[in-house]
Amino acid sequence: MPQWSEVEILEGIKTPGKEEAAFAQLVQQYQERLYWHIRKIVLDHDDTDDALQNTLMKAWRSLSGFRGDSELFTWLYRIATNEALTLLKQKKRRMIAPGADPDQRMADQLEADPWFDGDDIQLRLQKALLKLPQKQRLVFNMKYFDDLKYDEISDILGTSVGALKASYHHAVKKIERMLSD
Amino acid sequence: MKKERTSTLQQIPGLKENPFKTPEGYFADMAERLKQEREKEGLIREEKPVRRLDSSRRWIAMAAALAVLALVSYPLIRVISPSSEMQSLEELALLERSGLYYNDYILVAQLEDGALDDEEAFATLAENYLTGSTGAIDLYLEIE
Repeated sequence: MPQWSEVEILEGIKTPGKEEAAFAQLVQQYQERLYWHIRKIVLDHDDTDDALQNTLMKAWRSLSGFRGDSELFTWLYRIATNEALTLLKQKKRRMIAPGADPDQRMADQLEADPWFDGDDIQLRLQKALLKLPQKQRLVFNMKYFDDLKYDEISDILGTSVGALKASYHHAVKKIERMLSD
Repeated sequence: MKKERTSTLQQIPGLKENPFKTPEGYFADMAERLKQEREKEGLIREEKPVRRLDSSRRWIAMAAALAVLALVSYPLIRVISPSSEMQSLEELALLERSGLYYNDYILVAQLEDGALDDEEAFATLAENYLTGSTGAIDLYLEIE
């Protein structure tokens, strides 16, 4: 499938008879990036699948009203982030055992996950990330793994670039300490 | 010269690699699964094949579009300044009552400004106008 530009996708969504083709292009071009962004937050494949489908369904419902005041990619990332965090919150609420640590539970599940293929150091990194405050973990994922610019992360999270730089700096320090223990 | 400290994270080989994997064919199936989901919710929109006109039909489509536009747009051009964006609800209401939409207003403005001198661009606009507005294009394409 030849690739459409962002402008072509948005024009297609607003053109009667072209919406399906435009949406198929959007799914094809963005699904993997969105999947891996969500997966790094929720860790589990089935949960990621749920959040990704919710993200793309929301995009379908809202695209005709997309004003273009941010890039399409940024807008999709924002929806994906919110869906992932919502799913995490719901998951943690369902862990009803008293005194249970949801992040520890996620770390334990990761170790047994058949869809986790990392080596020992990668597992230790994921466990270390689970110990970070949620937003710091998000910033770390987007900067370290996704190589997003601070401006882009700022658009997605609605946080100033300065605050993001500080957050990333602290995240790196904490992870370095945890990995060296 | 102060040496820049390199993070440990940059030094550990393979640390940045993706440790997660997906079931086979997962991404290939996504579009179809979404379509089924949208069908369940009644969110599928009818797909129309986009037909490209050959050059002679394109000229006829252009002429037809110009004729229709001339009929309905002249009084509007007198009222609305073509070099500015729509400023008021009154202008919007006037366009809606005339059956023109915002994209048609832009077409009128571009004609007035002399900005449209690209045959291909104008033919496409004319085609979209006929396809979107009156259904005349369907009637036209049946004529040999």
